[in-house]
Amino acid sequence: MNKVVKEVSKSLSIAEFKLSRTEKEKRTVSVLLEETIDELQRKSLVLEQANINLIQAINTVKATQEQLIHKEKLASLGELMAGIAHEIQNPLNFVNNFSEVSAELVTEIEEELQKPDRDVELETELLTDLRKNLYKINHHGGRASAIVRGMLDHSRTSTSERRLINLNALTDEYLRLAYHGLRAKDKNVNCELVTSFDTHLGEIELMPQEIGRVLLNLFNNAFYAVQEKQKTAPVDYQPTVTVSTQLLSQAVEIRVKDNGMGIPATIKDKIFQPFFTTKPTGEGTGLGLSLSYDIITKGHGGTMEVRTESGLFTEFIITLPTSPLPA
Amino acid sequence: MKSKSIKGNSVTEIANQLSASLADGFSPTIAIVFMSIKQDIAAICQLLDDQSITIFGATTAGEFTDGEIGEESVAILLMDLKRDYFRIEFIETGTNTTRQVAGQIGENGVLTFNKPAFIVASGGISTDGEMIVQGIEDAVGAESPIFGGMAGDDFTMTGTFVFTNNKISNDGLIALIIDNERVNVQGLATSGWKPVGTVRTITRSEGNVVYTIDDEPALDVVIRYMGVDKNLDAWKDVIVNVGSEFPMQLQRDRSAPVLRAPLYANQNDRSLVCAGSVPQGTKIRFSLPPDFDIIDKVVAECNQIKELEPEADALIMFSCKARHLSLGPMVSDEIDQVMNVWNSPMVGFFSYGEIGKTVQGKHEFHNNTCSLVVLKEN
Repeated sequence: MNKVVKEVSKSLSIAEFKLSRTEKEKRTVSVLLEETIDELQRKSLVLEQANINLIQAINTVKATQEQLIHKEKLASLGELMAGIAHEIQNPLNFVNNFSEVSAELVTEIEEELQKPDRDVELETELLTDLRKNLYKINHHGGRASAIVRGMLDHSRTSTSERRLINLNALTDEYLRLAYHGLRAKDKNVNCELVTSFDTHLGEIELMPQEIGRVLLNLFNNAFYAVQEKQKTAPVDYQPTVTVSTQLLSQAVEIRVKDNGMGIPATIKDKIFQPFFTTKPTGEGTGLGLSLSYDIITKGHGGTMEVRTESGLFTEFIITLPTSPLPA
Repeated sequence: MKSKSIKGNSVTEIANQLSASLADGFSPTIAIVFMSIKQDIAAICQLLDDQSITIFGATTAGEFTDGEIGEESVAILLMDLKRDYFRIEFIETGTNTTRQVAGQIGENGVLTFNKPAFIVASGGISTDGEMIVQGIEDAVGAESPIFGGMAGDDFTMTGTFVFTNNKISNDGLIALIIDNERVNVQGLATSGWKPVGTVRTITRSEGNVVYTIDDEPALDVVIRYMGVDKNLDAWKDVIVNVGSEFPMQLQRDRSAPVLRAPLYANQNDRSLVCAGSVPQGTKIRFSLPPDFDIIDKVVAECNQIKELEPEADALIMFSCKARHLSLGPMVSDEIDQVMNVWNSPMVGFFSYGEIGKTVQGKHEFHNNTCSLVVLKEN
């Protein structure tokens, strides 16, 4: 009996102990729980703030990227300036010359009108010449306007309008602009330009300003490469830039090849990455090829590849589908 | 090896028990003696010394030879281990560091036996138990078994002692170095404390004194968890038994967390003095006591050890005082059930820190743990 009482008493004291410990634990756990909730709330606030900061940072990066892209466009416009000046000078010369000639023709007509025995046939001839001159002035004025319009188009932020374009003419125009631009900066530049345009190309629907920027970028890079090589090459080195177009079955291909320094294998994979440049600080934004790549692949559904051999040549190969992407 | 355990509440009771146990011709060579600081340590040591018994002694915060736990009493394990198989080292720390003293013990162990095993107790409330393990390892490497406990003082925080024949110190180490080739020494340390709450950082500490946790005075943090009235002015300068039921788990990179229990608190600077070092910058979590089924788990682990050591000549248990507080009357059950696994004589005490190994891990310094040592002569 005594043993049973002892056992019961022991069980009772253990039960009492468990109850009291559970009470204590309950108190502690509730304090810990409150603290954990507080900490979670604090962390949640920190996360929210971090998220806001992140969104702001992303917006800043986007804005900076857009500014950089615009800067790149303006930079290429700067490169175009000298070429444009050269191109615009020609029609302006025509306008000036024909204006002067026209003024002389007017004087002649006035003199003829003063004569008692007017030569009507001569007057008609002079007036015809005058009309022809005015037509030529108008034509060359229009040409100058087109160049200025093209320049403005080039610097616009968004130039996504697709038009049917003679790709050979566009390529040739930008090649000349790039070359004359280079020559305007340095008269000593001498580079052989070899062109081979496929006459079957016809008109292609594309965004001319965008493709123009791609071509300009490739031409400028090609001229830069041959100039760099010329600094160390033997005297008999002939810098050459070769541009060709070809009609394929469902696409057109443009190749731009230079016999410059080539691209080392170690950096070949990086050249289409944004902000990658081998040019000295301040000379290149590192955006040219990456933007070009985007314009060709994303903007036109085409491809852009590079073949190169270090020290020998670099060739960029662009293909553009002849059936354009849906807008 | 034959062993017997005795217990009593006075010198007379122990004298009688000792005589009774020797009556059958039993001739012990060594006594593991755990007793309250309130007992006459010198007189009891004299009783044993008179019988030419070597003493390994430590003061306690409660002592036992079975599930009936003594308070302010004496518990002794007598063993007739051959004198060639063991050696007692008793070194006062003095101007040395704990690590240096422990290193000395380790070196003496290596000089004496090819494969030494160590059972250590330390005197001195602020001794850093971690340094004992590191010091011995400095001399013997990480493989030798190390077990032991930090002496207690009935939770008065007035001073803990270790003693041997004619020597006693509140600032030193006593080691029973055993020839591990002759005597198998197995053991396990088990805790069961569960981490709770968020991860906190020790923002200021020196050695085993923690000043701030997340820049808040450590004492205030612990008291908040305990739900104790924060008006500390009415408290004594040194507050004992604060937070020992809610030990800290020190998070470590590549191993299991280690428990550190606050031993006492200083009211003036609101610091906590722990039974082991707590480096500044350590990440910690507080923990809740083991579930009520912890005893079943401890017994299960003992059975695992029993597979390695099916028979035991004697058992020694170092059990944390905080564990006693957390498990209350259930601790008696735990002791009885562990004893029953081997059914061998046992002695143990409630300590301020334990050295032992978990079933999977290596020996380490723990808090809030039950560290069991199983001895079997080959």
